[in-house]
Amino acid sequence: MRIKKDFVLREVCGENVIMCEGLKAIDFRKILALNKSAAWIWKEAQAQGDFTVESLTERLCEEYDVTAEEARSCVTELIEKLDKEGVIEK
Amino acid sequence: MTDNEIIEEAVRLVREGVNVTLPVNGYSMLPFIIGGKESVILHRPGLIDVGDVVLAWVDGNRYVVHRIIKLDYDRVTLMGDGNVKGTEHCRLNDIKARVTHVVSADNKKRDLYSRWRVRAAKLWYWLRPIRRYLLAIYRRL
Repeated sequence: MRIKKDFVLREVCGENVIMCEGLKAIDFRKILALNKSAAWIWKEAQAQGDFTVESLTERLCEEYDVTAEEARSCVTELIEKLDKEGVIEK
Repeated sequence: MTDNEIIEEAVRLVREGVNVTLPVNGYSMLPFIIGGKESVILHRPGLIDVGDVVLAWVDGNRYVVHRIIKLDYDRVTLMGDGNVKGTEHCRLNDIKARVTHVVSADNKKRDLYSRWRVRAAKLWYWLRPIRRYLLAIYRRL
């Protein structure tokens, strides 16, 4: 899976939001707020480029004090949310 | 995030030269913009004129997307197309963006300043005394 290239994480008014940014256009209809851990997963997914639930779960376990099960649930929930919004290409 | 915070971020991006698509609420721009269903595309204000639809900080207390009905040097008077009375006032530098297009829920873009829409907007302005009745009919359609 990959994050579509037009979507970026920005900090707006102290909150992490994902926006659809074209070359010189931003679509506020596709704005998605992320909590701190979800924003971390987003950044990790972007760093990995081509990522999987497993690769993100593994990195989340390394970074945070969570069980593999908790991490997987967190990653799966975020990916489902992003997929629903059309942010991910498979 | 509040609506104002989102709008301020949109204004900041417009100032940077980015074109922003922003959903709008309310019925104050009927029948030209349907709040809750449609979005507007915001550009840098540039040279604005009477008849332009703009995003403005009015009366020192709120943002509106309304049409300019009067320009007197630095003083701007605005009115919502869907309103039957009441105007808003601001200065030129309170005009934060010009609305160039409206985007429908099914992603169709329409120019707010096509020849016939400009004519329709002028006619609509002169129909203020009977707007109330026309809007009532429109809402029932």
